[in-house]
Amino acid sequence: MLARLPALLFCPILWLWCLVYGVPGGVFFKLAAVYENWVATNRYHYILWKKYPQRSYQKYISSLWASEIKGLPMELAEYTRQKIEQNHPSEHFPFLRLLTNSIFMLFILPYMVATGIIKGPLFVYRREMQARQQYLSQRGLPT
Amino acid sequence: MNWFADNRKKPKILLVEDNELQAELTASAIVESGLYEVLIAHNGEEALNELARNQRGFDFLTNAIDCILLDWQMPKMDGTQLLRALRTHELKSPFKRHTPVVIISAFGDNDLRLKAEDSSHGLASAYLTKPIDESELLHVLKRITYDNEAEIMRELLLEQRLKQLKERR
Repeated sequence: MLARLPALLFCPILWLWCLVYGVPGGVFFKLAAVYENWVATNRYHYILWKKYPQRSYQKYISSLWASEIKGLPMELAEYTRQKIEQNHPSEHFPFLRLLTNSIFMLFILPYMVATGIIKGPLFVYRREMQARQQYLSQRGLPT
Repeated sequence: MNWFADNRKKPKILLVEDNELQAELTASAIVESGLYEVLIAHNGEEALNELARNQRGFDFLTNAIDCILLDWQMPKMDGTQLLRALRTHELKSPFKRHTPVVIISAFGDNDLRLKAEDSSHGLASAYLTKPIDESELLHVLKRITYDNEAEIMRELLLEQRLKQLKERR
């Protein structure tokens, strides 16, 4: 759309467009990306727990084992794991994993918004410049 | 009539295959199921262009293509090069989420297939061998697109391969 503008108007309108469209767009799409990732990660944990219970259980035991083995001699590794398996014969709904994921997503949200403010206009600028160069080269003008 | 099932957007599959006849056969098998939309690219470069055309939300969101069916041997840019280019691009994203890839190769259960599996660095969700079994293909696509199991399938495949390597040693 901007590619067809005369050279004098192109630059100022492009910068304005980067601010007006790039900044809110960048923020919105970054927020959408966080949401999309939150859904995907939670879905992964849920499917793992629901459809692959053995695999999910082993991961659960490994996470418990990793926290309990800290500071203990390595000779106790196997014994500690067996003990954990005896104390936790089954895995409950992975509520903690989903909660941790949600808290993490909330934590990174401001950072993602900040990157959206910077990267959004940059993306729009690059895309419009590319379209401009393509338009000029199609008309045989110097780019 | 299930209104929601009928109106759900069909997942997009990108088929990257240099052999036109093979591409047509595979695409028609997928389209005939009525569950997917298929895009065809004949080499790696075309595939990257197709991915760029289907980017979502300033390229901040995952691609609109839900799964890539990738032939391993192709002219210009082969499967390894395309997969590397794709994953390098995806690494720039803070979430590093992968577009699921299914590798199609003519190699059967032999060293060449294992080589293909290794050179993909465990980044593919499944391997299919030619001639492609239609029901197997649709089953894999269903697991990836409708059941959202791509990541789990990739992990399982990688583990299986590591186990094989250990046994060999």
